[in-house]
Amino acid sequence: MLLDGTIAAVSTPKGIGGIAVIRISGEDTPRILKKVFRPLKGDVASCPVRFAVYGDIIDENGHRIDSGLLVKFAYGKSFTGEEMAEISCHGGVMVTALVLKRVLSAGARHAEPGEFSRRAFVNGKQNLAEAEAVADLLEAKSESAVILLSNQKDGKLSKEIQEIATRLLVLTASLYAYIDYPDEDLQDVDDDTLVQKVRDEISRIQEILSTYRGGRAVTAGVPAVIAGTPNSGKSSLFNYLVGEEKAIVTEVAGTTRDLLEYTVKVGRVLLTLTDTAGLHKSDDLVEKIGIAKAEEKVFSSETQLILALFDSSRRFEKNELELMEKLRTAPGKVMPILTKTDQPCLADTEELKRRFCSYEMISVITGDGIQALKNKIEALYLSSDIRLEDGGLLVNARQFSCLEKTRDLLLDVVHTVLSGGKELSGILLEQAIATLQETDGRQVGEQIVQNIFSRFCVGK
Amino acid sequence: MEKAIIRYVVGEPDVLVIGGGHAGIEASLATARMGVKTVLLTLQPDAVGNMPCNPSIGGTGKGQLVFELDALGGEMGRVADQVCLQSRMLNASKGPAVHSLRMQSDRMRYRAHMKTILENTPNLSLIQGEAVDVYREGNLWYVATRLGAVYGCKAVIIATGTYLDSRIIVGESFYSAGPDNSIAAIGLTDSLKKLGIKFFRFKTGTPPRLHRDSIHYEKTESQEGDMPPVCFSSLTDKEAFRDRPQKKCHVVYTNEKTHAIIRANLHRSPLYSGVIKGTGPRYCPSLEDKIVRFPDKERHQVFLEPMGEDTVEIYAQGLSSSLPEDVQREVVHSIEGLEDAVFIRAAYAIEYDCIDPLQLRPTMEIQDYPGLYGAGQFNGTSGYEEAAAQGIVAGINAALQIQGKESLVLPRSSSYIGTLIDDLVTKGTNEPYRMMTSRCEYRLVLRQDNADRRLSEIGLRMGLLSKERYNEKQKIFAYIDEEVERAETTFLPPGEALNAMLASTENPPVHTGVRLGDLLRRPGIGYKMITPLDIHRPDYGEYQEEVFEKAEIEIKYAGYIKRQNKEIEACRKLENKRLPPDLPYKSIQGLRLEAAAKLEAIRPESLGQASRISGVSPADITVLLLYLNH
Repeated sequence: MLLDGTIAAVSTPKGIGGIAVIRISGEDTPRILKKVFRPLKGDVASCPVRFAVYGDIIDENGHRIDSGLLVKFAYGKSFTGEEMAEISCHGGVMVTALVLKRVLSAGARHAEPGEFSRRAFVNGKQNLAEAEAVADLLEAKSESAVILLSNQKDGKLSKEIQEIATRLLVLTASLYAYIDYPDEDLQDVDDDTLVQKVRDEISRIQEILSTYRGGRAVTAGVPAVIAGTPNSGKSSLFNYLVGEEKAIVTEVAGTTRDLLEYTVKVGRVLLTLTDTAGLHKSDDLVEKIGIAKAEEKVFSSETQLILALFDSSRRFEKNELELMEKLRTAPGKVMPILTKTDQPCLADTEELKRRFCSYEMISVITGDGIQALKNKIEALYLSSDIRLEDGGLLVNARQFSCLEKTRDLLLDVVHTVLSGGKELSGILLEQAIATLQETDGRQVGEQIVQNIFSRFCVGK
Repeated sequence: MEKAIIRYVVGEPDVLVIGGGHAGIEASLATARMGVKTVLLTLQPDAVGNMPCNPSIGGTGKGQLVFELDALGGEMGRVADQVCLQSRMLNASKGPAVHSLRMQSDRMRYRAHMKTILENTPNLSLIQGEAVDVYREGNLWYVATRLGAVYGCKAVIIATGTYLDSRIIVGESFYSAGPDNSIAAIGLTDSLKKLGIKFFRFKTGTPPRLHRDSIHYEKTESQEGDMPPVCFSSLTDKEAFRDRPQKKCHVVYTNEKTHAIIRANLHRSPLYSGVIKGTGPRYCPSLEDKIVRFPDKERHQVFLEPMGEDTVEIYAQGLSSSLPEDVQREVVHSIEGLEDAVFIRAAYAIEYDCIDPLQLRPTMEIQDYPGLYGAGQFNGTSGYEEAAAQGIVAGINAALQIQGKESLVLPRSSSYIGTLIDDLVTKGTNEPYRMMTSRCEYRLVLRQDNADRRLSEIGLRMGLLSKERYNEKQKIFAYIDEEVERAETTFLPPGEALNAMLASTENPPVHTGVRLGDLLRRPGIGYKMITPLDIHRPDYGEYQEEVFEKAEIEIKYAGYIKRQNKEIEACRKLENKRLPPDLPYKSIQGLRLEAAAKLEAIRPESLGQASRISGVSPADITVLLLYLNH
């Protein structure tokens, strides 16, 4: 990726909005502004930094394209650390495109994906963790996710990780002191103490790792699927949760042939929920394809939660019993749900209980049981006493894998010490610390950096 | 008032080495043995290779340096073996990765041996003189002595130790002097400063020497040498060395009374009154430092080490001090066992000039001064072994430069020597730098036992190691490989004897055949123990013991070694990415100012070296990488 030249891009989302912001960064910014922006009073050069100035955006002949606000940022005091400006213009597709075109024709080049953030990183304006937090924040899909992510940086979690690293450093240092000064009357760290201390850190790391499930559920969503025999109310529940008529709901069984996916909020967690075709034997060729797709999804190892629906207004037939049997092999967590409880119950609920221990009961007509279902789903991923403001949940995949690696290295330390190789354990401990500290980006490899920045879209 | 000295040109050797300490010795031996005419200039030819502090060679981190020097064809280990008073393998109870050999040395005999070697080395002249001026004219460097002799040479290696403008301090008294009350070297600092070289002022110190017969040994603990003793050099006759008589060291302890004396007299310590301004080493604190910084410690160890066969002097390690002599006496006499100790030499602190090592290249050449090299304490290090290690590298590179050959840089992953030099020229130091095991991240593969294997090829290539000696080493390497291979492919059948041995070492029994290698990797099991079971053991002749000892280490560590080699491999890419010396760091866009300033000052030779500079972030490395690929 190039780091030279002055770049520009529309920083607001594509589409029609009230206003759009065009961001410019690089040393040519003042020259470009002089060409494209005419303030109501005075000239561009004398506009103060960090103040909104009203004026016209003009073409090369001085004709007005649009009017809007200009905010200038000084070198070293901007998001990227470079000379920067933001022009707010009207948000129409055409207007925005014209303003950007004008800025480009005045000497800027179109920014590559993630280039603003990359410049910010390279100029020391952001560290890796911050850059990542921004990237994650951009992708946040719910308010809960925003609360969680914006509290990551100084949150409980980073503090805990830092504390673990510090304790491991202290431990390693005392090991080394004894190796380097064998003749001094130092107290050596005995094997048992060393193993115990390392095991303590392992269990702390394990605790942090266990929060990842919840963290992911809040930020990325739990891959979930609604499964059931035809006409068991799958699309009705899907639509109810989505809150709008997303799937086609009819009385005719077998109407959902394609997979529909939507992210829905269930309390503070998200489900990336897929509605599927009813699972049964069919001779209809098109329907068969739909069923195959549905089965694949339900039994995929990526699917973590299966809402298995059973119609309470009908007796369980072969289809239902087969489904119950088959679901036992599904890799995801199965949550059986009896639907249509507003109607008289004909289903053999004892059968369901026998096979799954418990089940939920809902009616999308009356709304009965829906809140209880939501609470139950949320509780699967997030216990009610967790406050997202504390930033105590692990959300980042890279952090997760660093912590996993650290834990494995520490397990190696324990194994090494127990098999009589304490003098080797220092090196493993050092590696563990390095791995752990990688989370704040001190020793990150170029590959990771590339990977993160390819995830950015243009602008913050 | 001295009259102006008339200068006269006395000769044009290829290399002039200033200083006959441990760095100067290895440097001048290397250049001379590589066929380059060398003059070794020293203040006192009788005192070459002096040990003004500990009468010992090796120790943790340092022992490895001596083995590596020996592998490269250096002299330190060989002479240390010849004058050994006591040999002890430190950390012997831990694993071989941290074993470090330490020897008590006969200080006077070491000097005499070294002098003889220097005098008998072709291409080398040992000459008395004090260098006072270094300057460049045309293609040559010129060095002038106090008496007016001028040497013109292609390369100069400065190894002045702790002699530059040095000052001895004892309590309220201070005077210009080098170590052991020798004369200080005055003038050279100014001359080098004029060239633009940046200096530090460091401080170090040494404890008192006591009379052997005035110590109450019944009140001391004694510390014996290893039986049988181990030697440093592959040239030493191992069989004969085993029978060497060994001297004892003794241990005594300070007590509350000692500490009270020191506390009561702290105001008389130049360290605390502000007379001493030089930076002292943390790892080698004076007794007053220890007592001030660790007030809770009830006692401190004092090691009593013999200084030689022919002397009654005993070195009192742990009593380093700059307190006035009267207080020192009081301190010594407060210690149980030393109540009547006769004082021969007082402890003293010494301040001296040395350069900021960040000015050095990994070849030990001073940046921007082609042909001017630094080595040893002049470069801000501490210790005889550290000095010698730099000396041999400086010598090799000066000779290579004169011969128009490519320079030699030892990477961190090659050796303790490489690690030492990389630390020095990349991270710099603000106290005399000492080698430590913990500084060396590759210590599992950089062990004493395989120093030959790692470095003797370089020694041969440089002409410092004879073909015969090299071939002999090759033979041993081949045997070790053969033995490792055998262990990994030989199975021992299960049986009562095997399981009895396993039970005796608290290992679980086996019910099927077990691979010899896997057996050796179990805790507490070694070749010696399985001799009766390993019936088809081959005969490696005179190398039998060495081969099995080294093979066992390779086998036991196999998994870890493999892992570390992988890491080294992973870093190699960055290490191999060369950085041109004239990179315009300040104008590279995207490089942070702090990083650009550091890079411009240090001028790393590889991206790997750049990445280790403090203040250079991974982001900066990314920018450099982008710039280079651009």
